[in-house]
Amino acid sequence: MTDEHLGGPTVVSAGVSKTISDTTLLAPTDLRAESGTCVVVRGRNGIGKTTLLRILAGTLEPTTGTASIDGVRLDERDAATRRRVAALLGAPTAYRDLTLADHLTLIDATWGRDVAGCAQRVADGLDALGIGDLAHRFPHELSSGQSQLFRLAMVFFRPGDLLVLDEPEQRLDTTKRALVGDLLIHRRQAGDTLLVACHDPVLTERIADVVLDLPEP
Amino acid sequence: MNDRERLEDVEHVLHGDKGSGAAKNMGYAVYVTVLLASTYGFTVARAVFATSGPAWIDDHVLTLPTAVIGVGLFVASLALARWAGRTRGPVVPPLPWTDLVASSDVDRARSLRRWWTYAFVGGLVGGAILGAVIGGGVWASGAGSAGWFVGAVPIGAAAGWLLARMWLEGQVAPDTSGTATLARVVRPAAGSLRQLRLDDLRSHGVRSTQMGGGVLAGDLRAVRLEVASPVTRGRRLRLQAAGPRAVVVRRDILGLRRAPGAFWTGAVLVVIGWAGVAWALTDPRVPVALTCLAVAACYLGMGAWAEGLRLLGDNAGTPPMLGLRFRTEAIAHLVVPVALFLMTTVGVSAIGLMAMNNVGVDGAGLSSAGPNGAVPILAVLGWCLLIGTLLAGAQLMAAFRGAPPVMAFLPEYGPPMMIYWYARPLVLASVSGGLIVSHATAGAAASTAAGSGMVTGMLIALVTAIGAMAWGLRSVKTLEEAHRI
Repeated sequence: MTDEHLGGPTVVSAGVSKTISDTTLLAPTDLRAESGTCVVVRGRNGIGKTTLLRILAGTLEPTTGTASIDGVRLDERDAATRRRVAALLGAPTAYRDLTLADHLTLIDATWGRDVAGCAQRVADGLDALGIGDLAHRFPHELSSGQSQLFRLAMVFFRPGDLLVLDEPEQRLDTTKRALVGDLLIHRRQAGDTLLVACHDPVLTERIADVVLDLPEP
Repeated sequence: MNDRERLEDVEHVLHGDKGSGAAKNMGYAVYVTVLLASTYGFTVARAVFATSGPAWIDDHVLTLPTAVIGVGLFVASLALARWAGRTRGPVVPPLPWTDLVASSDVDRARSLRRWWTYAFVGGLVGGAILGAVIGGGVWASGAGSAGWFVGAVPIGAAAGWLLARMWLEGQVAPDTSGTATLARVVRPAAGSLRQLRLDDLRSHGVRSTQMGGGVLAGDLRAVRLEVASPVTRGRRLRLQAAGPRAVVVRRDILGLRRAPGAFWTGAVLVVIGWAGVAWALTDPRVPVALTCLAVAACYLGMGAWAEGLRLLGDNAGTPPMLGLRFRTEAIAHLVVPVALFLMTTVGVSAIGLMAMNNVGVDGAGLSSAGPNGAVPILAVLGWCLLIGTLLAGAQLMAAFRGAPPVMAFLPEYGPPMMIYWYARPLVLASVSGGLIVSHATAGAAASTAAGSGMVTGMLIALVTAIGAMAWGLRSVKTLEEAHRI
């Protein structure tokens, strides 16, 4: 828990739900994540955690209700939203012909960071997740746990002060879960806002300021 | 009990007294193919050769360059068959058969013979039918003698047999060199079948199932990943940081450096395709169908260079990692394929014009006289740009085609709808491109005012190219927003 609120956004969802035909993917849900805090979303499989996170990342239109970031409607088509929201919702598709280091270089360049410091930032970004020694492997040469660390490295590497993560602990061993917990705490202490769906009680205990248990529809 | 009796017993357990019906099914497939080939293939071939005439065939088909190109294409087909065999060979029995029957001590050549027979008969009969369609078309149109038909059938059958054998050898010995593989095809196929390993049969079976599932579900990414070899080369190459758009371009260049096969495949297809387009631009007697095929080759060639674009299409709907608008990134991914296309086509055009040995200088620049009169170099460059833009639009349509329409999953309309959905960008590009080029050349030949027919054709091409790009960009926007529903 921290009281440092250094500039991450406040995220509010009011009565957001998602229904397709007569199937309810997410019952109406209220959530408020203050700047610089971490909200962990919990619930049984199929309750709508990923759907809620997709709405809060601005990639999915809710059927009812509204979701906003600092009072502005969440919509990833808006460049301002994209600048703020770094999300891991499922496995992002990697380029099969780029190494891990190349991926981070590509991300770095597209956000307009200075070219001179790129190599160092890439090395630091991979080292932070403990996969610096895999920098020159291709994505298909990774184990499932290493792949998850690589995805997290990409999300942590890109800019954004709202992290939306769907079960970041997936496929990770105990040591790596602790490492990811450290990184999330560090980001929260730096002022970023975190929305995390998580099934790991130890990680939840470490990072959560608020726990939201999704209700049955 | 010998192997034959044991396998008959197995068939009886699996299928009862009726048997598997494999021979009946194969016979029916051959019957349908013969019917379609004689109804449509023969009719079209006869029409093509009738409109071309014997003189055109003498001047353009029965020539040394055409023979060299034909042999080259056949050798490339053999290499392709061998490559296909490494990924998905002709012998792919159902997985339970592999695990429960092929794993027994029954002679493996005998237990796997049925699936090889499918490929063998398919190659032999398919080749013979193709030969009959072409040879029969020449003969029936009056463009050649009955010798064409008599000769083409056995040649086609032999070519089909050789392709099927290369396909099998690609599966049996994937690491053998191309020349050594060619030497193996003269051996009896039974020996090759005995060398197939259970693990390989199983992996081919699983891959085949996944590819089939991907095709039926319209999941092109899944199909591509099953077919493509994993990239492992160029590990020491680095993506150099640059501006946001430039780094996307560099990414695509790096991708091609690490997948030189894709680069060379694209280069060969574009060179062959553009040679055909350039030929059609200088000779109004070139059949429209041939021009369409040439544009289709260009489309496929540019597609081989557009892996980055397709990967972006695969990524649509996932939270963005890159700091570029989706549309901007899509356009940036077009830079490399379009630039390579322009460089290749301009180069091919220049070589072609020089080879025509009648280069001169006029007010508009260098010009080359074809049968329909002068074709200014600037016009050739313009055609490179126009067809390149048309194909770029088609690449966007293909990469961002999204999910198949619901009708593709209905039993009544499914297969043709799915085929239409897959083929639409290719068909649109090749048919419209082929028709426009042929129309422009014919217009130029018929026009009394110098160049007016060609200019009209280029204006039509310009409108079509702009329309294709607009459609392509619309596809980008549609797919970008599709996941929001």
